[in-house]
Amino acid sequence: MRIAAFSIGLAVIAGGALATSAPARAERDVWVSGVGVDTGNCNMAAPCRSFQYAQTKTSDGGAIRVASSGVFEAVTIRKSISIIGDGSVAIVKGIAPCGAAICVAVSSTVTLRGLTIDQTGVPGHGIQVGGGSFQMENCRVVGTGSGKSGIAIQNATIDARYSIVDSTIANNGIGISVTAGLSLVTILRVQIENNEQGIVFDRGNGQIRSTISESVIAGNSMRGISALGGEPQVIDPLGNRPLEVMLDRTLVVNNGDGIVAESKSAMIRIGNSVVTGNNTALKPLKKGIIGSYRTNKIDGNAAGEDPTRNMARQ
Amino acid sequence: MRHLMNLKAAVVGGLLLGATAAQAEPVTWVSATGTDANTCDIAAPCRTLRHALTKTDAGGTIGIASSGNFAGVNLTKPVSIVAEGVQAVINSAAGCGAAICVNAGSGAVTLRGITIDLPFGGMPNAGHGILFFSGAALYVEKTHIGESGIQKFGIGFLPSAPAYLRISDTVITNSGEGISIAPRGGTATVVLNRVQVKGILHNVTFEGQFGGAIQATITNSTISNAVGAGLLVIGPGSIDVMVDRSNIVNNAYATEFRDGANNTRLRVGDSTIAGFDYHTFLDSLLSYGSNEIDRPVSVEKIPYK
Repeated sequence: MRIAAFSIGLAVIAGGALATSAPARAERDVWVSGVGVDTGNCNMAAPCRSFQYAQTKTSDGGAIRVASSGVFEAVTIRKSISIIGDGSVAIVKGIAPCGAAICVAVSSTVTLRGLTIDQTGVPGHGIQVGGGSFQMENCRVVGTGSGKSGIAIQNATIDARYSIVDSTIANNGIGISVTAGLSLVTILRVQIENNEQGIVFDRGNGQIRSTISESVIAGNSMRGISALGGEPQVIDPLGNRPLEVMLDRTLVVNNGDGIVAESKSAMIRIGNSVVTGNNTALKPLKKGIIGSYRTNKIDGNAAGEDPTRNMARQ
Repeated sequence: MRHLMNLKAAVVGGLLLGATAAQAEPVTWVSATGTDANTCDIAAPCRTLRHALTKTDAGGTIGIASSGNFAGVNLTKPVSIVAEGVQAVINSAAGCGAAICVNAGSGAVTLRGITIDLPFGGMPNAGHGILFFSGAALYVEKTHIGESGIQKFGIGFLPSAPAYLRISDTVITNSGEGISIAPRGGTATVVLNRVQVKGILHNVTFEGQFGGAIQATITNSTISNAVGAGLLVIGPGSIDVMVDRSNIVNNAYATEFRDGANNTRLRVGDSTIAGFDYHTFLDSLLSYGSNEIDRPVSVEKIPYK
């Protein structure tokens, strides 16, 4: 008994000594709170106040976690980290140097979850990202002004992979803009509403592949989805184009123009989707193609209910 | 002594500064343990939504800082109310007759993560869950309306000018009418996405007779258990409703059309209509031929494109 107690005592001393003598090594998970203070190591017992400070206390593969609700300043992400707001009201507002509330500055692996990026009254993008692997879940991006994007994916220089899931992107200049670069964009269960333009794919001279499923693209005053791109077109032997968008089980409703393919290099395919209440349902321009699997409900629009071509399911 | 005078002056100055600083903020906070004497910031949350509203900018947000019961509020400017990870329960109606009224004038209002559960007072005296009168858009997300209490309208959408309503991931039960779309002017644009409506009398009503037009899309939703109609369309007026991948089940009337509703279009595809007592009202239904209906009915077929 005495030996056991003695051993425990030793263990406590040893453990305590090790803990206190450990260098200020970056923690994997660091914590922030609306009532935190930017000192120390941002552990759960003493959370920090800002994402930017907390980032300095974590390392690649780490996460900034929101311990309790608050409004958080803009941040430039310079590591492969996550920012997780689950279970709190975590509102991000402001402009980091790249011109967005959240700038992903490096080609890194970044996950954002459970955040509200609210740029109402702030003249910047919501999120700007330009490469690597980007995952956004259960977020809201709202209130960027005319000419600004909720999510601006720009000039990805390598095979960049983006996923946007279970989110709402509303009342922005452009909901999601994907510009140039080489991008793979997956959009699942996202509501893109009441922006001037919902989603704009502008390939420049790059290559974009995107699938949008189970999503709602509604009430965007100018265009719901548009696909633009540089000429001349490059079409591979299989007929694939440099800008390809697949729409599945998605609502495109009550927009100015619903779906616009405005380039010879653009192909938008639609299946199992609803296109209704738009001024123009489908608008192919400049030899862009809008193809249908003949499984869509395209009715109740003022004009343009015929796809450019029909495609067989296989 | 003179020092003291200066100190007093400084204090007075401080108070003045304090008064200026007490202007509205983009984000304010309420908590069951807050007090309305507070500034409503996250370190000093207020107690009532009504008071927090006065401290919040137009276009701003009231966050629920911790769980509790809250009194109803009339949103007289575009301000959102959001809760995450807490129980934010509104169980009294504001003076406007609903737990939350939206008289925003312009701009978008988001209501997320809240529960509205009014007293079990019986229908004649019950209040409404949410009433929308003005504003550009209302987004209702992850919200529960009606648990053990009773509401008249779960959500009543009654704008006099063009306005947008989207309800998603939301459950509306124990309401006389689950969702009532009855615009007074302009076009009401409505999207229901992943919504469960289990009303008492009618589940979702579209009313054109007050002068507004309606363009509605219902997807991935379940509309069930009404003693009246699942979908009730009341004309006259321009009413377009698209039903996609949804269940309209176990209502006495699956769909019902009244009063010159012949200028309305109810399009249905990839959906289930079952468990109803009356089906004569299905005659006005435009079907993509891809629905599961549990008995033979007369529908007008329309093609996929």
